[in-house]
Amino acid sequence: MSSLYEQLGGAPAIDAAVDIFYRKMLSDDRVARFFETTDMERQAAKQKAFLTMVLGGPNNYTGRDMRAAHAKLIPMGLDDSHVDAVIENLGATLKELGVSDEKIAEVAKIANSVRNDVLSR
Amino acid sequence: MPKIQFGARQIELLEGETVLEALLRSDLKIPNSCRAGACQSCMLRSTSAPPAAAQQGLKESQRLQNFFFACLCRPQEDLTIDLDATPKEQEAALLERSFLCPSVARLRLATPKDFPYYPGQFLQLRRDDGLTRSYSIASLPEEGALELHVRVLPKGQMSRWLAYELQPKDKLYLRGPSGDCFYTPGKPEQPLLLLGTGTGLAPLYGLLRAALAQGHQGPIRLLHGAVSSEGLYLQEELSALAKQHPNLTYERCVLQGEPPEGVLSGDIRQLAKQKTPSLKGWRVFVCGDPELVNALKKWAFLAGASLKEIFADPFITAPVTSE
Repeated sequence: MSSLYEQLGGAPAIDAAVDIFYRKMLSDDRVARFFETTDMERQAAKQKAFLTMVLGGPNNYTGRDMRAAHAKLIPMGLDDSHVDAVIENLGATLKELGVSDEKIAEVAKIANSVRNDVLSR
Repeated sequence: MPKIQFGARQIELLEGETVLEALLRSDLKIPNSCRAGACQSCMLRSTSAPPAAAQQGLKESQRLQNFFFACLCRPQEDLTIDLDATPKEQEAALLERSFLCPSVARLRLATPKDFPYYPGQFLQLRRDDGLTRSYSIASLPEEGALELHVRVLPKGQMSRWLAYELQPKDKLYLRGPSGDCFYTPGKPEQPLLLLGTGTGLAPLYGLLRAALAQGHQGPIRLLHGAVSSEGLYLQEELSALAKQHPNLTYERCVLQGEPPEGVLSGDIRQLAKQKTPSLKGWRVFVCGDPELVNALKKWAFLAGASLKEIFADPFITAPVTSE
């Protein structure tokens, strides 16, 4: 059984998905402040790696990587509401790409599995 | 099996191995993270074209420069990694100098022998005493000389020397070219948006003429912004170009002062938004003041342009020293 990553079209399709997902995050007042950066390409690359991971694509991220990557956002006030917002935007992105609600729920579950790492809990 | 040349080391690739795996196995500390071609940590450069599959996700202009991801690279032939983070230094010399407007000098330098460039890339200029600054290339290779636009800053060490003191006999060195802000063919019908402030016009002037020379058919919109009308330049040349090429639209804007005939008044960000509110499918080039470049880049992305189609060249000025 192929992963959602493969079903969507693999790496080239994820590039398009990242654009949609990243746009949503930058336009979302709840989380936009965590994305202030001068290096948009680098940030998009991280989003791409995240999408690749939750869609079942090839990846080698560990919980420790997610923890380290988000540690500096904790003093900025990162909390559950922001993780919720990200998962919401992820769902909206997948819906735009024609993914079924059932599959979206599966992906949300995977995203949720790193919640505690992201929040350094 | 193919061999990888990494500096003095030659590493034989094992069956099924990626370049990243081969290098790590040989105790070379290549930055890496996702091992999936997404995070871009393991980006390297080769001296000749790497396998296309290893360039998945890169901009066309990066692909042309032979950048690739080591974690995706399974070469069928020998591969040499280009380790020169900084290209080699070569001698340059001033050929001629003129002023394009009170604060901008146009320099023409003798092109070094081994300097293949794309108009819009930049180079680093070094004076004999070590003072070094970067400048974007406004010329086309076929013009024979390198053209730079130097904005003379009140306390600018390099800019004042280049504009007022440099003589043809003086020693000058350059490194380059670098950067991915240049025109690449392949989508001749694509609409292009060129936004520049001040001497941000230099790379745009180069890549715009390269696009036209390569037969770009799609609409090209150039908007050049300056603080005041004194900072506008090449107006006649660009107006003439726009007359010659119906697909080129040339507009200028100033922040301060009464705008002369034909010049718009306002902030380049507002005007760009008004004139091209949706950028889906566009390719965008933004050059000049770093703060504006960043804001325009973000706007362009939110307005629908794909990140891969946005090319930025922020002109980061060196801090003023107390010399």
